[in-house]
Amino acid sequence: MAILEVRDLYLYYETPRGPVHAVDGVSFELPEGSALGLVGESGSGKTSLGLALLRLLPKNVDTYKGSIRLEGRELMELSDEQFRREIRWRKIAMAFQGAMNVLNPVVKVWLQIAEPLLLEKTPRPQARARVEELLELVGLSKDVADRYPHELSGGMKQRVVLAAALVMNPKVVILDEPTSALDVSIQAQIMNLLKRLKRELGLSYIFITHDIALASDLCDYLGIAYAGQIVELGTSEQVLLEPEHPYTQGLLESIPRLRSTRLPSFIPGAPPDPVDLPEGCRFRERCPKAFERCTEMPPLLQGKGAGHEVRCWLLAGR
Amino acid sequence: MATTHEDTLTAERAEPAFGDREPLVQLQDVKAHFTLRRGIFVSKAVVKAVDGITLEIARGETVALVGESGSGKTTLGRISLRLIEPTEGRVLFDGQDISHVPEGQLLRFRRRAQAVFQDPYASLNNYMTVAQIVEEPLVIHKIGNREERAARVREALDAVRLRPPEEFLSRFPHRLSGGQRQRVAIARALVLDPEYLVADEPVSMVDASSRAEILLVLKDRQEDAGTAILYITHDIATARHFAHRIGVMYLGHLVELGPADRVIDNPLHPYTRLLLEAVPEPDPQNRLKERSIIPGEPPSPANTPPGCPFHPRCPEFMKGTCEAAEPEWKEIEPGHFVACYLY
Repeated sequence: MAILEVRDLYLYYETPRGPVHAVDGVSFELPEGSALGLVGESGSGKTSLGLALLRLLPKNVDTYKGSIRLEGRELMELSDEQFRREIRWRKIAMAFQGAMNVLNPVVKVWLQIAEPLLLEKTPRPQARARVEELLELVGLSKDVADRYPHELSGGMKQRVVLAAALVMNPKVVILDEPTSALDVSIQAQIMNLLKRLKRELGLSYIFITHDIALASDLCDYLGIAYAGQIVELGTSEQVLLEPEHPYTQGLLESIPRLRSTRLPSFIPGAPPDPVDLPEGCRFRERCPKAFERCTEMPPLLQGKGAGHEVRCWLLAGR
Repeated sequence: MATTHEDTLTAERAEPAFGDREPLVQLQDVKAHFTLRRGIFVSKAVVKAVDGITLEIARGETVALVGESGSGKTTLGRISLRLIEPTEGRVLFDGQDISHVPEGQLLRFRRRAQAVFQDPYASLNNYMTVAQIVEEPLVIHKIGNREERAARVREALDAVRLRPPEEFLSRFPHRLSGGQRQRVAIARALVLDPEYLVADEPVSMVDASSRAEILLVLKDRQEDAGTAILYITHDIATARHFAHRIGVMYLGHLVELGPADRVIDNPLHPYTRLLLEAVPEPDPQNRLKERSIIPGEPPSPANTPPGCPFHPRCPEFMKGTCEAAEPEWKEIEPGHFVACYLY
């Protein structure tokens, strides 16, 4: 069963130049206990999608609509107060990008992890015990509790950020580039920790990343985002082994393979301006396979069978 | 230590690094030690950022320096550009010792050696147009008149595939993507026709789909102009494809150096092997298994372990040997060197 069902989610920001289409009609399902990777490059709207799911919206929101169902319950109908009290951190939590900057440098680690508990007036000794339990869960020793962030290495800070996300026992954790600032050796340690937590706590993940190889290390499903939309969605096997969208194909070919002598290729050009999107397919200006129809009409996400969906006119039988 | 480096030099003389070409850049047993004040009354600590490295880069050759943060790769690149004066050892450029030449006399060298840095959001002035940014080095070095400079700017933009150049000349950096910004930074470095280029993590902040384009631009340029390139990266997979040789750094030491294919296909140092295993490749099978990891975290260069710097994390650690003294630099196959007691 899907723990999270997102249908036609939109999030536009208002700017002097016009609305930015950050999340532009995104739909997906997250089966309980699984991980969905949202892979996209800068400006694809992947981080905005995470913020939209947690209703952490900036002031300049222009449009925020659609349906987010958690365990069958429609979250878009909840008031901000209800959402804050019942959903955020309790059901859906987020581990933010850049562990270096997320933590408050002048507050001890344990108080930062315990913050949501203390806000709801949990007695300090109980909150402290919960923090120590969480620190052990993420592979840190208890005495990290009394340290300050600057005394920790990058990998340790990332573990603290994870512990903080888990403090209220959420069911869904949104991971936003949890390892992008870390060295490969530390990255591998964090990825193994995420796998273990998923297994042991039955967590469901939305893993936001620009790195499709890294996503394959954790994710059962992959959604490829481009210019605010999902252009390909399926199981990791479908997307990685039988990619259908030219963007997905290009992305996979651009990864330098260690065990191959074939030079990586690249996708020419740059993503479109999110305020001034081209008509038709948003990828067509960079697409090696674009044809007339791509200019005329935007393609819809079409099922290819077995849950594999692709937003491309090539699949509409030319 | 002394014998180690003599070995290196003789070995490299016997087997030239890159064909028979003269090395353009020679680093000879360079060290960069910084003193770190820990507190007002507390003793000072010495950070050994680079601790005795010998490396040569030939014209037309790309040498990749691979390593994690704190390995000293960036410091070594800066020493080779004389942005940092080495504490010990010599830096030779085209046969001339520039280790301690005063800055005022380095102007000609500054023109012949250029750098591209990691962050294209920080390295470009947001209040200058692309044309002004790329032209600036020519103005500083008083090269050409206005028309000649304009022509060179257009050529440089074309070389980095910002095409047509006219479309980019009057743009400001904030209207460019990360990849386009980085190409402007490269155009600015290439406009002087440098003989030596240090590219320090030039693609780590660029979208994956644009990385190869930037690396291919550098490769093309090298093939046309014979530029020597020092490519500093944490990404060993790109090093395989874009460098002739790979040097693996750990805590200020070079632990392995060899032809790129050999370092990847026949890694000798346990650290290199672990680094290679830690690289994720897009494979749906990955999620079903644990990643192999390098245990622990890299220690700080302010507190380097005795003996082999990698011994506290090494799965092949041999007690009584590895921590006792630094391993010698040995040539295991032609041009492929390692510092490890396993050999």
